[in-house]
Parts: sequence; structure tokens; C-alpha cells
Amino acid sequence: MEGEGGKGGNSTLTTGNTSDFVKKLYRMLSEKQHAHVVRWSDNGGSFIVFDNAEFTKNVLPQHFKHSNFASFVRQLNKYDFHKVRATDESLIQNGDQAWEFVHPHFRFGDDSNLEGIKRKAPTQRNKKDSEEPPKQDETKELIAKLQARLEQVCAQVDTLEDLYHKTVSHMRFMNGSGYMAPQMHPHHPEHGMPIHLSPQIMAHQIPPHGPPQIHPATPLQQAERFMQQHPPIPPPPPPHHQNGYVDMNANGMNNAGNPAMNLSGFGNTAAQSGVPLHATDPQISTTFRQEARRPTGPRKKSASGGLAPHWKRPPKILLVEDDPTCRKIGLKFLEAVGCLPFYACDGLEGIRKFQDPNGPHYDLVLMDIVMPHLDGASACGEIRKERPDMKDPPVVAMTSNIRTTDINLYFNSGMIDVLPKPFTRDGLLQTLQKWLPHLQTSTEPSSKTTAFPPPGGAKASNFPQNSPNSTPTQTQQQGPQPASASPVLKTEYDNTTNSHAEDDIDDDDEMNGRNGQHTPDSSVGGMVASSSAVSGGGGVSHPHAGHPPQQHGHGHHPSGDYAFGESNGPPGGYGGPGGTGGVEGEMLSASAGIYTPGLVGLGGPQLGGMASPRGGVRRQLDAGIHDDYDSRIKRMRYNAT
Amino acid sequence: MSDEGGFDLPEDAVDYVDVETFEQILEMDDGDIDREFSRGLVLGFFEQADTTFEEMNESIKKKDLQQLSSLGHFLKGSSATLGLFKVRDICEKIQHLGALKDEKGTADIKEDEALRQITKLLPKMKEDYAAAESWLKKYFAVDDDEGEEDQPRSI
Repeated sequence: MEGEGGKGGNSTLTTGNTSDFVKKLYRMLSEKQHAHVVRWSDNGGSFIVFDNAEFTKNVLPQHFKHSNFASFVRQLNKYDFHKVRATDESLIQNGDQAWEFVHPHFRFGDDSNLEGIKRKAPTQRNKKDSEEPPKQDETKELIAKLQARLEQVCAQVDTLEDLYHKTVSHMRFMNGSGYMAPQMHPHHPEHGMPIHLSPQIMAHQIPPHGPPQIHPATPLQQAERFMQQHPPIPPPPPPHHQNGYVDMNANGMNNAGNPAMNLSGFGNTAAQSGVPLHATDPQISTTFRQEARRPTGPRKKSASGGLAPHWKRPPKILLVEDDPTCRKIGLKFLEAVGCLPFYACDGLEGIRKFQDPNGPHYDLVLMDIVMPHLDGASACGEIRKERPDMKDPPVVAMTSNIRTTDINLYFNSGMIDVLPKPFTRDGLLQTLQKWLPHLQTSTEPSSKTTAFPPPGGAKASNFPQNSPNSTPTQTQQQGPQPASASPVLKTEYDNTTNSHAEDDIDDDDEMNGRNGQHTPDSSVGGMVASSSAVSGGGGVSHPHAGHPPQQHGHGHHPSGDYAFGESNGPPGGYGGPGGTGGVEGEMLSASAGIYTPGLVGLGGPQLGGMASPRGGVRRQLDAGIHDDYDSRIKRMRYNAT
Repeated sequence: MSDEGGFDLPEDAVDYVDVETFEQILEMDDGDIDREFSRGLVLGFFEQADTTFEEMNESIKKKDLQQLSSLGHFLKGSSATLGLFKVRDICEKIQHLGALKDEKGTADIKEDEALRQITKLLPKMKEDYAAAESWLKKYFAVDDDEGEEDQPRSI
């Protein structure tokens, strides 16, 4: 209609600062051939798509290389275009199929302002994305208040937790168990034959005097070498301070003496991914194979289509991972299961964020192993120097290296479990459920699907005869839990410390893609906490493989920079008053070689009452192997026979 | 399966990706028709892969086996995450070879041999990658210049 449309087109369109999307849009409108489908409005202040179908079919592909009208509109939204509401007049003039869009800087014949059309800032963008009603001022105010309150509460919680942990460690020393932070020293050759290597050696059928460093092929071993060169932890304390680990090693040896030693803890975790771990020959790399679990069980979709579990509040998870792809998917999965993910891009940054006094108090750390600057095991060792309790917070290794030596390394550095890579959403969820029982709501309507049985259940009494210290274990999950955490959660992304990779990506996001995509990280940056949706969601709490497919609509979209999760129960702090024994028991069982997770999850309902860490341990020690769980679960065994 | 998943993966998907892994990522789009998440993830991976390939080339020139091993490990992780099993498998071999093990990670090998084998594997990996890349680009309707859109350029 506006015959001169082409004229304005090309002068500044070649400048660099105008976003591609806007340029394309402008050029599209400059072409007269589509004028019957899309053109400037008569006053040049807006443009109108007259024929949606035609536009989608013919114009979009030509200029935007897709044919998705919704996507086009979304992109417009992101650049702060607005749809002009149809009036009686416009209906007559343009027909009722017309879509008219306006942006103050986007005018016919005037491309000088195009640079002013930018993608909206994240807040707005996310709000618009989720089509929130624009009550921003009120919301901001509310957010500010809540944030202030949250900070207070967090500070309070931190103080309490510190106090608690101090008390716990005091008690430990007083009752003689003398637990000390895990030490890396066994890896120092100068300490002689590292006792922790014994299982590996046995598994190997290598004489006990065999050199510990026989297969340096994995990055893990490189990490180990790295740590030998740069011991992250001061020299070992006198032996009697290491009971926990001596126990562990002793156990390891016992087990190793048994040719069919079962690496239960990792086995189960691995098993939850359905991955057979033939660790018999530790020289065979045990990279996990997704395919391995494909043929069995119901399709993934049905499992992960389920709802995220009920958390009392969204667990705060620190994901330390150098690989951006893994990090993005990891963060996304965490988000999808109702957590508040934070990230660091290497071990050093991980430590920094973990120790940041102004940072969140993380409920769990997921730690990649092979990373630049500082590997995950060393980073964990560093964390454990100040927080010797292996469950404070649990640090879970994420790795594809699960050889015996590697696993020992993880344990010795204070990690509590391994999540095999590449992990699945369900595998992740199971790990979280295993280690964050205190954050799960225990009274769920559909508890049959819940991985965790009622806390402190029967299995507590089944705890292995590791140590007298283990008996109080059962109190751990039953103990009254202090209402220490705020029900309100600040869910903004942790931008306080730099996470370079993400930042870069975020910047890129400005002009990223014609389809209105923005990068995964930035979507995570909008932060998660579909918490309210999740915690308020239906009763189904655990996406079991056995469930019927269940697509749930709520949740995953970052709906704004802030989201608030109402806690629907007293938030669990770290261990209640009764927690001490439990923690210790857990540690001992962990040190028994191998933490046994409760076969959380996968086993499905039939697992019922035994799905707790201690139940698992007991079974492992007593029976050696499991045979009665889900066929998807493959065990990791050391078949030294 | 695709019925259940509702992702309408082309039938040839199995040649390029581990379907379950891939669908799990698609699921994270949570119904978003734009596939902002998975698309971004994949585009990000392309860049990562390109960079890694360049670094591998450099490392070959420098005969830096350790670096090659480490790069192999790195790309193994992300390709596995996306379900690009062919790339992942070769990466794992490179990881082993760079660490002076045979491609299964079992037996020790000499530096020359490691370098020779890696040099041989690289083109194969790039080929597999290119195939997967073009499949993914088709699936996500990515055109070739998309990745560079964030750089100002004349059009």
C-alpha cells in the first residue's frame, strides 16, 4: 500500500546495531509483493498482517525462514511490539483476520530509530513470555519486601545451621567417633599403599603390592594425579581421627575379600540409570550408555512426564559443571524437578560460590569431576574442610568415570554419591530424593508413588552393624524439624558472582535467533522455581517409570525473575535435634564403602518399604546383591570371580 | 514410541541421536512450539563442537596428546548429553588414545600410535558430527547463518 516502502529500507539496515529480527521485519515490509498480506498501516505507525495463513505460508519462510506465526508474534513481543487492539473501524477497514502490531520506534520510512528496538530486559521478557498481567510495580514492591525478609531469614538459618554443625562436630569428638574431614592423603604415594585402593586391587585380582596407578587413562586419574601434585588438603591427622574412613576402608577390604563385592552405593545410582556397570575390569571405561536402558521399561516420557516431587521448599542446588551443554541441561532438569539451580563453571568457582557468605545455603552440590582450574573431587575436598559432614550438604559426583579407583577418590574427597553421566531427569530426581528427604513433604496423598517411605521406617533397625553410632540413625528423619527456613523463596538467579560462560551467552541472547529462542541458560536465569506450581501441584509426586504418561502443564517456565514458593509444611532444616546420630550413621554407612542409596525411585511401588538409604545398606551388606527390584535396574558388581 | 513422545521425530532419528536422550531434552521444552530450550542447547553445542574441533586440530599439530584426551572427554560429555552417540563414541576413543591407551582404554600404546590413530579418527568424527549437525539443523529448522546472528553483520 505504501508504495515507497522500499526506500527507507536499506540505509541504516546495514548498520550493526539493529537487531536482525527488526531488520528483517523492516525489509519484509519494504517489499511490495506481499502488500496484500502484510504492509504498513496507512499512517505508517504500525504494520498489519492481513492474511494470517498466507503470511505464515509464504512470507514468513521467505524472511524469517520459518513458518510459525505464533513464533513470529512471540518474537515481536520480545522486541516490545504490541498488538493493536481491533476497533470497529479497523475491523471494517482491515477485516477481522488482521493483526496489527505497533512499536513506537518502528515506523514506515523511518529506519533511524530501529536501533532503539531491542529485546526487552529479562524481567519484562520473562513476564511477557508467560503473559503475566502487568502489575509490575506492586510486584516489585512485594518482591523487595519478600527479598528483604528472605535475606533475614536466610541469615538466621545460616547462623542456626552453623551452630548446629558446630554442635554436631563437638558431639562427635566427644563421643569418640572422632570423625574427621575426608582426606585426600591416601592418594599420596608417599603414604605408602593407599588403603582405599584395596577393593580395586581385589577387584583386579592384582597382588596387593601392585602399583596403584595402573590405568591412568581416565581424566579422573588425571585429576588424581593433579591432586597428588597439588594436595588440596593439609597433611593427614593422626590415624585415630579418621575412624570414619578407616572403617570405610576396613569395610572396603572386607568386601573386597569377598569376590562378589558389591559396590552398592554406586551400583544403585548407576542402576537407577539402568546402566550395567561391569566394573570387573576397571580398565574398561564405564561410560554410561543411554542405550543400555532403552529396551526396558516404559518409555521415558511416561516417567518424566510425571510431576516433580513435593518439596517443602525448592531445594537449592549448586551445579558445578564446566561443559556448557551439560550445564544447561542439568540446570533445566533441576528446574524441571522443582529445584532452584545455581551453577559454577569449574571447581574453583564452585568453591567460591559455595563459600560465599552472601550466597545461598545450598542443599546439595552436583559436582562434575573433570574440570579446568580445579577438579570436582578437589573442590569437594576443599568444601569438606569447612563442612566435614558428608551430608552438609551432600556433594554428588557427576561423572562418566566410575571405576573403582575413581569412586574411592570421590568418597575420599567427601562426596557421598555418584550420578552417572549423562544423567537423566529421573536419575537426577532420584538422587535428589535420596539425599534430600528432609525437604520432601512426607504426607503425600499418593505416597505409593513416593520413593521415600515414611521417615524412619522399619529399615532403620536394619542398619548394619557397622558401629554403635549408627543406631540412632532412625531418628534422623523423624526428628522434629525446625521451622528454620523461610517459606518464601527468592528465586532469582545467582548473578552475584560471575559465571562467565553464562554471561556471555546471556549477552548473545539479545539477538539470538529469529524464532524467539533465547538460550537455555538465560531461561534458567529467569529462575526456575516453578516451586509454587510444583509444591501446589497434584498429589502425584514421583515420576515413576510405571506411571501412565502424564504431561503436566505447570511449572517449568521461568515465569519471571522471581517466583515464590509457598512452603506447604514446616521447612526442614538440616537435621533436627535428632539428627546427629543419623548423620553419623549415614556417614558410617557411606564409609562402609559405599553409600547405599535407597533404591529410590525406579523400583517403583513394589519397593515400598525399603527405599531408604539405610534399608539399602542393610540389604547390600546382608544379601550382597539385590535381585528383587525393577528389571530396569542393572547392578554394578565387582565380579572378581 | 514417537506416538507416546509426541515429538514426531523423523524416522531416521535413530541414525543420529539416541532417541530417548534426545526426547528427554525435547521434553524440557515443555510444549513450547519454538523449542527455545532444546534449540538453544543444540545451537550452543554446535559452537562448542566447532571450537573443540579447532582445538583438536591445534593439538594434533602440537602433538599434545594430553590436551587431545581432555578435549575428547569434554566433547564426549556434551555429545552424550544430547544423545549424539556416534560423536560421543569417537570422543571417548580420542580420550583414551590421548591418554596413551588403546581406543578401548585397555592397553598401553605409544605416543606415535596414539597420534596416528587420533589423526585417523578425527575426520571420521567430523563426518559423523556433520551428519548429526545437519540432521539437527533440519529438525530445528536452523539455517546456516543462524548461529552467527548475534554478530552484527551486513545483510
